[in-house]
Amino acid sequence: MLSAAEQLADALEAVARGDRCAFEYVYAATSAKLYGVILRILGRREIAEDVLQEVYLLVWQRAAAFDRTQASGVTWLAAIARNRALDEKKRKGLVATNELDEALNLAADEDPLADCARNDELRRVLSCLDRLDPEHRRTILLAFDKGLTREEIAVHTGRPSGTIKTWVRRGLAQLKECLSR
Amino acid sequence: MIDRKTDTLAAEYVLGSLTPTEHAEAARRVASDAAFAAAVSAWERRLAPLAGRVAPVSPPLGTFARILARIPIARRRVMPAFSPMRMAAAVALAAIALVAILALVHERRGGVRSILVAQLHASDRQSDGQDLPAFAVAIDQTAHKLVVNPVSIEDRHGTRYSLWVVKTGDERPITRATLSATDATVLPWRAGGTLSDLVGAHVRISAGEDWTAPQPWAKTASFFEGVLVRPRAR
Repeated sequence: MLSAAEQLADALEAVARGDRCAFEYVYAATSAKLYGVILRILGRREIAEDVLQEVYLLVWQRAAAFDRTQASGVTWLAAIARNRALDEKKRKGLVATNELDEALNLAADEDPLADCARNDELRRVLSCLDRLDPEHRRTILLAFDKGLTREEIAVHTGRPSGTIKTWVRRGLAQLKECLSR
Repeated sequence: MIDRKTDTLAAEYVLGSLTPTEHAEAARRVASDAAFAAAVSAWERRLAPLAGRVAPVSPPLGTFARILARIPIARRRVMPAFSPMRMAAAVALAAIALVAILALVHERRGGVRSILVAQLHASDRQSDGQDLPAFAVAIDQTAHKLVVNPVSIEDRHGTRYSLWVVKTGDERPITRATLSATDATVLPWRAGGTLSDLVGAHVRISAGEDWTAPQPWAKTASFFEGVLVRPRAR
């Protein structure tokens, strides 16, 4: 019996061969997760749906670049989704709205990739994050989850921008060191 | 070996903490600097798993259809108006209709023969409804046979077609098989229940993988589809 992660990896490889059925499976299995990621960063549903469409078009076009030895399918997809959402946010100068909070509360949907989400990759990163100074960890998660710039985090936390810059960089350096062990 | 400053820039680019100007510059550098692109990929692998913490949110209905509409699809071959293939297709359809009519006559004369038929069109077709179906399916429960006739399907080299009959309201297919795109496929029909239970059942034929492989997405395949109906008596 294949795990959900293995099925997703198989499906992505089939998408690379132009298999539309596999593409439908990938969408059904991951769209809610990726939409959640995109919505957190952009905070606007009307833009988030456009970005989600673009993400899956990229998946269709670039599935051959997926390498299951490098990352899980959901990690690969999440990287594409975050990248595209961040590009959109920065390009349009979007700021967070209250819709963000609404999105964060909409967690009732069944998550078909629950076991993927709690995979070893995530556990490892969370373990390393736990070892960071709490303020460093918080700044990193604010940037990761919402795509906030150093200046936006400074406003959000009431700390000087220079301090946030230091915390982000120290946190990232420690994270890298921890993950390389 | 990448220097610390460049690695930090790559990390912040992936994290999302750069200003719009810095982000745009970094994006351009990804496209032109292989070492920087490699550093970005490494940070994506480190940080992307954190997205697993995010609660899923259902995208708006119809999003996938809008995505599919943006994907270029190879056009199906259009047959000329009087081609031999079109003639053969018409004959095949007429044969199916004849079998259905004979079955009905037999049934009306007190026999127990019962047949359901379906014409399967491409699920994404956009036409005026006058085009030929890709496949035609007939189920004869008395003879315990299921016949699938390719009508206007293109015989793409190496493509395998799989049949699924999905009872209304039921996710699991009740029969499935690998089909020929050039010849009629005759299969034994051993489904339980009566044919009336199957009226309205969905018939799907997917192109691609062999049904014997336990690939879950095959269940959602819907390249060619139709609904089983009992031919109407005049």
